[in-house]
Amino acid sequence: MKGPVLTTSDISLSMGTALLSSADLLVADEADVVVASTVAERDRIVENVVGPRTYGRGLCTPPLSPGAAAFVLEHERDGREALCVLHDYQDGTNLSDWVSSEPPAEPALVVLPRPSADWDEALDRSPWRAVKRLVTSRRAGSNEASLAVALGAGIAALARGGARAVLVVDHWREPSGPAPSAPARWAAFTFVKADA
Amino acid sequence: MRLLLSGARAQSKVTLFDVSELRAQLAAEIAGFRVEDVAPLGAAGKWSRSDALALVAAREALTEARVAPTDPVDLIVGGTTGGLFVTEAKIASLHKPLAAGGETAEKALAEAYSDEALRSHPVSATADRLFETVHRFRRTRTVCSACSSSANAIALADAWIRAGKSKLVLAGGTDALARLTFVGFNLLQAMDPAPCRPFDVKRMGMNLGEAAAFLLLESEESARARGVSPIAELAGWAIGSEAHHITNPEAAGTTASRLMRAALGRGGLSPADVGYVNAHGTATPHNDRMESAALNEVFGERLSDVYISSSKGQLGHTLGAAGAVEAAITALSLADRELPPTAGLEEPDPALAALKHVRGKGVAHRARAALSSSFGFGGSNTVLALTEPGLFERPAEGGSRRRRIVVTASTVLGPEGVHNNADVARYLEGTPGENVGASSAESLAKSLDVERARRLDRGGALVTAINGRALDAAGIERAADTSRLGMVCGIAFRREEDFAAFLWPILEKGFRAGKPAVFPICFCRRPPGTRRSTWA
Repeated sequence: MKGPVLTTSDISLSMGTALLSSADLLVADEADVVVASTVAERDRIVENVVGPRTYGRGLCTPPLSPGAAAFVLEHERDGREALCVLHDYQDGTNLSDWVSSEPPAEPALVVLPRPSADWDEALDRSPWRAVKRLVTSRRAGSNEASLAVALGAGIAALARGGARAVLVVDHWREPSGPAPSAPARWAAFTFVKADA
Repeated sequence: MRLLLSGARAQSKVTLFDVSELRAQLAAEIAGFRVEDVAPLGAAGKWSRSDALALVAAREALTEARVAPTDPVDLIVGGTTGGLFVTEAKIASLHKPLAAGGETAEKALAEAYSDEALRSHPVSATADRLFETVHRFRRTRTVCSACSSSANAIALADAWIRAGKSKLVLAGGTDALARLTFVGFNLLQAMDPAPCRPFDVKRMGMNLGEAAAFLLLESEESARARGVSPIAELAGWAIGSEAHHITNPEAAGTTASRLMRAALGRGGLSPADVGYVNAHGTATPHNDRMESAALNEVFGERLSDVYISSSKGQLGHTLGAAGAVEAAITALSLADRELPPTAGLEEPDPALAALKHVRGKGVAHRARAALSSSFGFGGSNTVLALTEPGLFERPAEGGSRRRRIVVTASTVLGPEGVHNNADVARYLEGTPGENVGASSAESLAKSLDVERARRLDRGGALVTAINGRALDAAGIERAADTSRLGMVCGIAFRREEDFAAFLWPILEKGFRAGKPAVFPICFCRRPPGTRRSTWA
């Protein structure tokens, strides 16, 4: 890899910001292909000390295991088969800034890496309110790589044909205090079948 | 700038921690700077030195740029050490209890959890502290690519503005001195015991420094609408990886020269337009040789017309902050039409290409266009091209903005093993399957070329292997030209148990107990540069 190579490091959302930055680099025409990836290892200091201190107590939950993922992103080309299209991607610090529009295709699915009251509230106010929501942490656990599992599972739902549009979302707020003064960040990715 | 132009130097013996056993003891430490003088009252306990440095720089940049509290500003922070200076000893102290195991380990982990200072440990803590105190930023991002971190922050800011995502972006970096980096670079023999001498025949390595710098970026239209005058224009940038070696740069500077040309090309500039280069210029034998070769390749016969200087002879190498510090110096040099010198350069190395160095004191010169280069540890390189505002026409954007982005492969290592594409759907089902994640991780890591992967830590091996799997699944040929193939890896933490194991002997037995080969994988949250070479 001799193209742009860098790390994003945004507590709880590092996979999401890696995917966002990969898309930014493609749009800026700095690369033809970007692999958005993540890795989280089993580590007692992270799981018991710095993780809970910075994520909040609930983030490192079983089943714990190493986690890693890689998603290959490129510009759409004639004749090149794709799993799906990255239809929309947004992020921010205040979840009320999320601009939601109608699901771009039906059936649709929402995938969350872990339960989120903030996202449930935002989704309930949006055109996605009636769309089925699935949470991957019940089977994959919850750690820094959890969003990667949710992204992979959402993309897989499109590849299997169970959905034609998938919204994958995540949100973190520093455990120190309430919104809007506590630092926070969120990301939302909408994928659609390539023919949608 | 006045001090820089005078040739003043900031290096002195480090006072933040004991360096008496080390060969090189100098750094450009910010004397008298105290977190408690900067952090909000009662909050200093969760603030790192890097956070506090960032607050000073970020607040001043927003004030200088006349940004109102209600303006929609996004933030990108580049950094490598984060809160290490305050947390490294605490984390290292866990090594022995963890090795003892049982109740001793549990007790030590529980006690460590109560330490408020550990909240400053992640590099993204700086963005969070700035969100609390400087501005309610609309979005925040933290990037880490060793010494090019904050140059990448600036490049991404440009991408956001041009894509219409952002109106105003505060981009920069911060890095405070820490024992890990100071000892690590000493162990690698990369530090000069004397004030460093970039491009000098007697150069022996760098001095570290600490700093924070932020630049407010916006479109020309936005600046005009707000009634502010731009200092300089960010005409172009280019980011690339050498895929060469975990610490040493390519001798011929092939990637560096490619990126200089690409940054100029993005801005519609040619080498003939450039009057100044703020070099990476670390004063290590390897970097300065590589960078001279790259400059010679790009400028050729014009090399003798282009002023070159390195700010590291005055400020030391400020690692994750260096890209932004030097971009700011480059911008001010264009605006003020005065170029700072390379302090410490007495006798240019005759073995290097003949560069037109600024020596002693600054020179008055209208450069019109300039480059600022950042060549990071592990070969993570970025070049920024800056010009006087409005002087050059930037070419129209290509068609990338209108093309759809597709996902052509998805590979996930989760508790149930390694799966590609449609098989990852298993995590949508409620019933847990067989938990085989750990053994799958081992087999995945072992799938690498052992010889080329021997210096990778386990996390580096995992992410390298999974990248390879995904590229295979996407049908991308490994032998293809990889200059347009990139990677962005999201990592919040290094493996802290490995870090504790590296640092504990140093704290307990002294600096000689450190293992130089381990340092690069502890440094800056394992930049992807340390792992990408195995696949490439």
